[in-house]
Amino acid sequence: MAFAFLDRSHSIAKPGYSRWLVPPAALAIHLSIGQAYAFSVFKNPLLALHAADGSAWSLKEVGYIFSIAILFLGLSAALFGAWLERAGPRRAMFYSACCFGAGFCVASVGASFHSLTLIYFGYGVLGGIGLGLGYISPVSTLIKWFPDRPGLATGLAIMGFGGGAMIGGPLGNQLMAHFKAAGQPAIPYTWIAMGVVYFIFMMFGVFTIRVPREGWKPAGWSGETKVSALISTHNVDVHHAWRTPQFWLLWIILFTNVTAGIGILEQAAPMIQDLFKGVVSPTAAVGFVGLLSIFNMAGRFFWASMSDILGRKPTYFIFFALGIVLYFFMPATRLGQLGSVNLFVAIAVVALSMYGGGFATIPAYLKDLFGGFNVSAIHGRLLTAWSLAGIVGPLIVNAILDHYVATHRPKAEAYPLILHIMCGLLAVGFVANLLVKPVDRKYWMRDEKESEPNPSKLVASN
Amino acid sequence: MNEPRSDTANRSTTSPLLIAAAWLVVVLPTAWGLSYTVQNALKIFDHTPVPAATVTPPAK
Repeated sequence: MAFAFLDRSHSIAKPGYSRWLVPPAALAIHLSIGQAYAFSVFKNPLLALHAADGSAWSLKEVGYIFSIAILFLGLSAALFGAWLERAGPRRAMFYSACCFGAGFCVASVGASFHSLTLIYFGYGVLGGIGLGLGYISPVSTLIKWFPDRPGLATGLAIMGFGGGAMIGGPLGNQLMAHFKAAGQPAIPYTWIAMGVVYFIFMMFGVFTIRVPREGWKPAGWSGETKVSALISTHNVDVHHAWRTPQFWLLWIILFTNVTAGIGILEQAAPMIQDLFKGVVSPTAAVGFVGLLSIFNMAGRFFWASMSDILGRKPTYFIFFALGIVLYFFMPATRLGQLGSVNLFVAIAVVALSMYGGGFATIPAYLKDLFGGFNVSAIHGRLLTAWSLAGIVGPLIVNAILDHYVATHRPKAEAYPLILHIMCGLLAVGFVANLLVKPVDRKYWMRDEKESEPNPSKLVASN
Repeated sequence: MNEPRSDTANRSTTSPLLIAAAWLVVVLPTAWGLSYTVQNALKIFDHTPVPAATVTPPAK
């Protein structure tokens, strides 16, 4: 295979390699691809671009760029997960960096020539594939390096995806301001610069990542995991995992948790201003969005780490049980009822921390149920739930808001309905989580050899 | 790859400075981004009265 230095065999850690070098490698990838969540900073500048004939793009057309990227994130994660397990994290990260960087460059050409098709292909398709490959690439490696704390390890990496928006937003804004001031085309030059900067930053991850050698375990760790019926000592390969009821229960869990979170995230700034009309300024609403971002990121690390102590099922039990209560009472804080901005903000940030926590805890839940052998590939297939939630969540919110506006009813009255629908979704997730049981032994792999995956040698015993 | 797989062999010999440097590479940009976000988040405590003109207009 081309670029042999990217092979799994070339990235096996030498004795003495510290596992604490692996999270920064994973973070370099996730902090980069997390830029996707900051795409909104380009919306208005793109709307202001005009073609030679004076035509401009609509908000809907520009909105599709992000949707295509998230769609291809899910598709590529699902399609390339099994390949990633064979090829190793270094090659996957490298291809992710190439796709993500090249995506920016192609989109830049699209912005220069006012071609939305090129932007869809560049940022949406190429960039989306980079997102999918990058998102799942470090997961199983981290779990192998941190068998004693899988939640903490994957939580750290996936926290980076939340943090990526905090870097990508101001970086995009500052670069656009810089190029505009210099009299150069702001968006094309910004995208080229971002493509190059992110590619270099991701290369740090590519060359730092290592896989543990066969038989490695953390110094001082006995190899014994917590005793629980839901922590399997057996592995299930990806081709069998997705046929188990447990996979689809986790799919429902991720889907419902993400859809509910998007219900708040999608409309955060308008929602707080509509619910507290005349009390919350647009500036304060921007602050609210920033606060949600911080709790979304912090929740990824906090809840995933907590799940190492509490267990995955109890952690999701908290997400759903507490989530239902919080979403139910959130509308009661609005003007005319309790009228408390502080209470509304407090409820929303806790809810958003659990949205992030849901993303970050799912790889460890998968590892508990299916073992660490194919966890990246299984995680990749599970991320299709995210893609669908990214479509369904905004669809529910916008359809209800549009209906209220069309029938000349105050928007503030639409939010209780939206949030109570999210309560119903969380109740579905709650039941799905309760139904999770250990994977039937007929799905276990017969011949297990975790460090050197060779799926052709392994057959499930069904 | 023929080292004994003992607990001692699994002990890290990587320089703590190298580990700190690797973490700095990811912590510095994160801290930069976080500082912007925190500055924005603090605006939630902005209690200036909302002029009627800046109240969110009904959606189209």
